[in-house]
Amino acid sequence: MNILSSVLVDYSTTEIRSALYYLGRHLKQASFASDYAKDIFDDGSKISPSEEVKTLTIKLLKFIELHSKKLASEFDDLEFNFWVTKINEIDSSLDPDITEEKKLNILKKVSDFSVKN
Amino acid sequence: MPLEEIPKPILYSTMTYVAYNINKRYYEGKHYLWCTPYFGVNIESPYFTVPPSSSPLEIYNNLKKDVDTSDIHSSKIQLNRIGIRQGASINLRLGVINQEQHDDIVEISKLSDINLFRPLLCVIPKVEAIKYYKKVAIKDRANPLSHEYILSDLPESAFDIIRIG
Repeated sequence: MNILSSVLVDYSTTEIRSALYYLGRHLKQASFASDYAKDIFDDGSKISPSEEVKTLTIKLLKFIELHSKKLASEFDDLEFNFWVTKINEIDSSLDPDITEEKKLNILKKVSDFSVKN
Repeated sequence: MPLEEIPKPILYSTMTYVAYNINKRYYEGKHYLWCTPYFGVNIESPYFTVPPSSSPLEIYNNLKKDVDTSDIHSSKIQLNRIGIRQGASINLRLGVINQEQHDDIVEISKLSDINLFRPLLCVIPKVEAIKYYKKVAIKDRANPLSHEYILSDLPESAFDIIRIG
């Protein structure tokens, strides 16, 4: 079980996904937040995060910092990568498994990707 | 400073190849970009500063490095995957996409080979961007010269794409 799982009990998939996304934003800018502080919850999204999502984001951040015994702003690259990997592991497990046929279908769509010019 | 008052004619942004294609295929060719009127970080400039992680040039170079070295544990690319899934979640709730399309995008984010996260540099004329922008809220303590803007629903016709190297 992922180390963050215990914090996520009783939240919906949508809330968890949003909170993990905003947590990732915080971790990414934590080291220079004092100089360039952006509101991590203000990303121009057409749907602003709910109070539940904000609360969960903060809970996750506090959990991470308590576990690491330091602030996110003090993480070195290894610690930062560790937690981003944990976040991605959980986020990518939130959806139901798909069939092999569906996977092949997706990969076919991806192979059709292109860029103008 | 409002975008209209920035004394620069061009905005820059870096996005990934996979994000570009998801926008094109699933979001009616409308793009969501973070952009800045300054291509790279210039620590000696009296006019400008953004966090290095927000510099289009730095983002481009870091992504390219991770792709070129096949760094499957790249935190930038992992955060990109997370961002794609969040975008799908938001657009499902907005009714821009249906559940099947949402599920497609989620799987694309997981199955996409690292090479699909190669960076694309977006060059946006300011005059095209103005009606699509929202200024990033900056906390009071932050550097007031940091100029970042969010462009939402930017159509393909409003910008050009450059691949460097």
